[in-house]
Amino acid sequence: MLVSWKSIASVAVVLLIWEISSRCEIVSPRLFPPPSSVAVAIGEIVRTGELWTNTIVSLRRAMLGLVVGCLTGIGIGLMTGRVKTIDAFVSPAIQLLRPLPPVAIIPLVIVWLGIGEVAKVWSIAFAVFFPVWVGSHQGARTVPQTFLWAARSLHIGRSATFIRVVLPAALPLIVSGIRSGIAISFVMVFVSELAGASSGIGYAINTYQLAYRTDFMMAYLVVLGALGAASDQIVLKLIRLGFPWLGLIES
Amino acid sequence: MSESSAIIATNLSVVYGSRNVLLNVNLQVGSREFVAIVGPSGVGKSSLLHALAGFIPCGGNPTAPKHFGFVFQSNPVFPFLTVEGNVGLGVRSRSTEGREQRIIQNITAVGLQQERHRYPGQLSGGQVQRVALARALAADPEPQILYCDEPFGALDVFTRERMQELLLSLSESRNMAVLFVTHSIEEAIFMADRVILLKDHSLKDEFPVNFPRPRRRQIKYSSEFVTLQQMIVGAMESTRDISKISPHT
Repeated sequence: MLVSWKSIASVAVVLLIWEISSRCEIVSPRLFPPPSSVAVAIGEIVRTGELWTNTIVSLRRAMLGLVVGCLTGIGIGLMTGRVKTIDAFVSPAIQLLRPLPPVAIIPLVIVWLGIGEVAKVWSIAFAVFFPVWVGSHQGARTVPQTFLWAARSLHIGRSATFIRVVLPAALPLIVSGIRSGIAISFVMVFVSELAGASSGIGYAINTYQLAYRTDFMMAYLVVLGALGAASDQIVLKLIRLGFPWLGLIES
Repeated sequence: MSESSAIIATNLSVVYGSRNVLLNVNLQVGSREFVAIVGPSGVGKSSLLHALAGFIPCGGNPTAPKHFGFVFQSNPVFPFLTVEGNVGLGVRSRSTEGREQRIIQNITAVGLQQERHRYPGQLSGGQVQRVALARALAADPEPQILYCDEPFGALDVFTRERMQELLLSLSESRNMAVLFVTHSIEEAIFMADRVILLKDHSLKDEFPVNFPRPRRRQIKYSSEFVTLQQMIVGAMESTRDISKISPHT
């Protein structure tokens, strides 16, 4: 992905204005520490190794939740998308839960499962499930009729049709569901760590808030944003590598 | 089914809800016959192919081959498989070499050897329809009939003519019947042994085409060809929306 000089210039101007405003105390440097101080804070947490420890913990939670949410979302989505009886029984229940903001279930999950790893992974998986389910359900439902007829004319059987035709035909929408899931998993890992944790990026930001260290809070926010963007790009690259035809369809 | 007939349909009817799409269609297609079906949009041409292939329910219990190939106009091939993957999907040959050989043989028959590892998204419209043809013809067991639902409708004139010639040579070299739906009367006459006119949801007329095989493009300029074309257009004149029929394209 090439970054144009215009976007670099735009970011640079914002950072420069921020730096000057903070240094000249147009805004309070304690509330809005200049970007240079945030950079120093990043250097500091890298040096002490706490950034690495917290990032690994948060990433592990996000990835586990993502995997569980994706597997259940894809599995159930493909079934509700293709099998009318399952759709009639399962989809209304999912649609009932779907409008819930996923972060709202965290207090209930804490009551059920405490504040351990299982609770966090469960909350993330719950939130990831919905966009992945929607993508898989829609993807499986909208497989062109001619694909299914062609499979029939080639006598390739029901299960082979499902694996070799329905699944790949649904993949573009499944992938867009997974990408929404990745974004949501980062929101959820952060919120669930705020709600009770002893490590992780959310925990670190919470701790620095108590110490009034906005520079370290911002340092972690920068890392969190970068992680979210990088994860999306990495997953997209991996998917494109495994399924090169996806790019051809999207273009 | 008699030995010389691929399809025998008597009083074939297709109903969607309360709407009759096809009503009492009687049709017989010889085992090596090339039959073209023309008619205005919405008259049930595609539904007739779908019913004969068993894709949609119909009345009248038509007799049609179990092993058939189908070439569609829209989404004709699987975009997630390479040319080789598409053509090989219906090949059930015993050994790896036998399978490979059958795939290559059919890819070569449509002239796509160079493109065998490419995806449909990297091919032109004409090449995609070649893949669709090869996929239908490669299937095991070999198709006894090829249903074509306006397969060249979206192609430019030049590509379309080349595809017509390719399909003609393939159908002449294989032991199969072809049932070919088209909007173009010219295309129908050029390719078929018989042109059938569907009108008002039923088979209204049929026109034998007596040009020798193999067909040459030059016949399109003969007076017999033009006369036949005018006869078919004339037979359609009582049709409500004649604008949907093109005698030339």
